Amino acid sequence: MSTSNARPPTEEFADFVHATGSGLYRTALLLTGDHHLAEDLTQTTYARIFASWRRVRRADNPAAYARRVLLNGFISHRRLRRNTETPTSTLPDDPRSDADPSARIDLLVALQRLSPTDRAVLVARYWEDRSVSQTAADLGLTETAVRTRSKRALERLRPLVAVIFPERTMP
Amino acid sequence: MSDPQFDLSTALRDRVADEHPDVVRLTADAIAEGSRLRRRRHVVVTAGAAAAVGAFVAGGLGLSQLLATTAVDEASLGAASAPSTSASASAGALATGQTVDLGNGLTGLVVTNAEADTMDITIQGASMLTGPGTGFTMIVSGPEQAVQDYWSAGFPIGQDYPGLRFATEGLRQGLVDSVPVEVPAGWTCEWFLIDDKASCTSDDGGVAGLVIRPAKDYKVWSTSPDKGGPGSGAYVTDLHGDIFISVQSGQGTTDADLEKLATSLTWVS
Repeated sequence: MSTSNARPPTEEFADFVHATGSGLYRTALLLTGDHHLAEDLTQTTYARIFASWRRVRRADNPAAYARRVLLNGFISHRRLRRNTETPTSTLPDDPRSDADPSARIDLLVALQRLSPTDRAVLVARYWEDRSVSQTAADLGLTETAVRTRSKRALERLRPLVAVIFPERTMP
Repeated sequence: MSDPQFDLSTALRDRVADEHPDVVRLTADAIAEGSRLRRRRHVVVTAGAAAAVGAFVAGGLGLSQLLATTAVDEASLGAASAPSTSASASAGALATGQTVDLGNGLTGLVVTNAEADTMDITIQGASMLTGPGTGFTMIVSGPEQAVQDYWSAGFPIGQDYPGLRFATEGLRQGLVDSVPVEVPAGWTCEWFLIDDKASCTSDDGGVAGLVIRPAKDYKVWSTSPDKGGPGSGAYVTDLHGDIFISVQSGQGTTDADLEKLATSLTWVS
């Protein structure tokens, strides 16, 4: 029998989460620097998407929509918390790697030294490979602001990453 | 990236390459939380409707200015000084959050189609015309029989607001979750389970429709000569658990074709 079944929305949604879950969770991890916070952010994002699933599933690119919801959710949450995290240009005290795999966590620590918005800009630009204009649209910033924040964040991150990834950052 | 000494993209990828979420739990939790969000949105929209009625009254305007129906708050509308106008004269005034008294205990809540798509409602029909109702859905609630009567009457307000969709509360669930029967060779069916229906075509171009029906309707369907059997344009299957299927004729299908199709359906489980 040849059929075109109307699949239950929950099945469609489950497939969507399976297809996009890892990517979205990794984005959340880079943004939050914490596994539990990343899980919360990812779950909140998917919950919002499920609440509007009938509309989202018809979107041209539901995955891009999900990424945008996650980024905005992250920024909004940080604003609401009025977090006391202060961007700094100084390096953390002990970003030693010594080629120890566990030292890779220092990249997440380094990212946490940036403001949430600067971090979101870097994650969008260098993890999601979004263009300046796309990042601006995703985060509700001007393209100039994205360029400025990106440049500033890279300058702050560069010396730290040079320590963590000497094989890549040293001639 | 332009700076080869600073490959942040690669560093980020390396860092999270072996990070994997528990997708099964993520899905289940998201569905549970998302369902709660939907319900909350519904409540917010309803509350917004009440606020909208208050705003119209406070401004000396009655909903009768906006719709050719009576607003919910009759007493307040009685105090409104603006003359009543026809729906068509003010048909462009539909706005999300409006609540309309449709009579017979029925209330219609106006929401945008985008809002409606996020709510636990069932779209029952829509005006196929384009007009001031386009882009809006009216969610009709009230006594079940009154809702059915309103729908049977052709959703009257839709005539004043071409393009308006008509919905009832509650997300409709199909009678079954999966295709219940296999059709014989020579037939191809496209199922719309949420509507309990399938549209079937035969290799020689005949058309037939299948409708999954609840067992409570079986007695009527199996004994009424105008609903099933020779000359009625439909045949019914035997009862199968809580459901049965009526097989209804379409263009290019003879009575014999129909009967053969009905008797050849094989229950999947």
